[in-house]
Amino acid sequence: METLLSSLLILLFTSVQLAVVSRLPLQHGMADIVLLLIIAWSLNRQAKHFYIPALIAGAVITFISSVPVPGVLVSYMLAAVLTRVLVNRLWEMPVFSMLIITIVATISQHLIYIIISQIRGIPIPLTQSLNQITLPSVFLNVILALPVYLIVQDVQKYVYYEAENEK
Amino acid sequence: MRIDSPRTLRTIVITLVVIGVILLAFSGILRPVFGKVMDPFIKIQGWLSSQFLAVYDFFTLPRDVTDLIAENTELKNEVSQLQSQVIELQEQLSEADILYALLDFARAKPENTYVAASVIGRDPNPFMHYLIIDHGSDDGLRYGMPVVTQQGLVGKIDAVTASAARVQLITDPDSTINVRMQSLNEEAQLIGSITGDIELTMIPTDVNLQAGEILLTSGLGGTYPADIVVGQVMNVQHKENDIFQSAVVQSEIDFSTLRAVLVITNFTAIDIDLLTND
Repeated sequence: METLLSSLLILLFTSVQLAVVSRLPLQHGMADIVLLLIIAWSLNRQAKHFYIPALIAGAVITFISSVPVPGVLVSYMLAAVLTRVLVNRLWEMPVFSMLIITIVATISQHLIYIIISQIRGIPIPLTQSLNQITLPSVFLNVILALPVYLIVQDVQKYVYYEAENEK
Repeated sequence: MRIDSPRTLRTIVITLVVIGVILLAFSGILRPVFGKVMDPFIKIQGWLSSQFLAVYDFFTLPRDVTDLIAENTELKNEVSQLQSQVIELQEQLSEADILYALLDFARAKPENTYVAASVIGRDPNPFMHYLIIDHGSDDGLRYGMPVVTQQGLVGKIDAVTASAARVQLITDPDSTINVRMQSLNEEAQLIGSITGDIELTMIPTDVNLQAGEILLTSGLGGTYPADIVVGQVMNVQHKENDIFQSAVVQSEIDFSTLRAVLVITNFTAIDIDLLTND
């Protein structure tokens, strides 16, 4: 049930990302709602298999995106693990944790993309990337973090309520 | 009853007078007299009628207002429905305009075969510039096929599935295109960037490049067919110690609002990496 619903959510978020969110850039940065979904999903301590949505999303986006194979998968897994590591060490209020982890995960994701691009020989100027892509992307992700968190929380309530009832 | 009795005579006289008056009235001779007599009655009748209608309106108007409000709401709904229909039709008209423009372009270059496709998405990676289109290998699309619009070169197909394909735009930082300057007949290279700006590089210093120069694909390298419009030179940068000049290039295509493209399906890209690599 958990995997099924998270997979459906990932497919829905991927469609929205490709069709809508990617078409609404701020300067040259854009939000990544799939990354936000993974962070929000991993924030729930009841989600024991938090890495499964990260793996599924990594596979789906790798198939669609131009980012070389390990890039998306590594950045999504890193975000999920980072969320799990920090969730007990940050504030008790998950919303604040969501915002902090969103900032850290977005910057990490962009660093991974830049490193991979440099390895492939694609010139990515670091300062320009930071000013025109990473910072606007962080801003957009922070704006979208709360609505994504609320949607995921609602879905998770249903998933774990059903699981508890089955017991 | 006796005829000569005074009572009978009075009755006969009255009857004759009444008949006479009626006959005079029918003949129209008494009309001015009747007019004068009837006028006050008509005025009173008019006044009474207007007063009655005022009272009638007073009681019936609220019901009419309710009817009017209902009718107004109905009309408003109808207007909003019509407005949405107008928007839908404008959308269809805009799509038709795009398709007509693409059709004109395709007719102008009959040597190529085209597949028209709609843009259905954008790459989620902000560092790269790729589009996703709604046609794939089932429609005859293959890796490396050039993608164009009536305004010029869009890019090339980078990955294909059965029903969709990913297009690398000419603005992508990993994109390099060999181009020819239309009036100078000199060659140079066009490269993309993370910000979506395109730059013309490798221009020899002795070339007198001016803003406004039209750039076409040269066909060198086998990646793109020759003579497709790529853009226009906006600004030439020439530093004294540099070996080459560079220039900022503006494409006519607005890549952020691109909705439909044409894929040239009778062109096969040649992979010269096999020849250049050891």
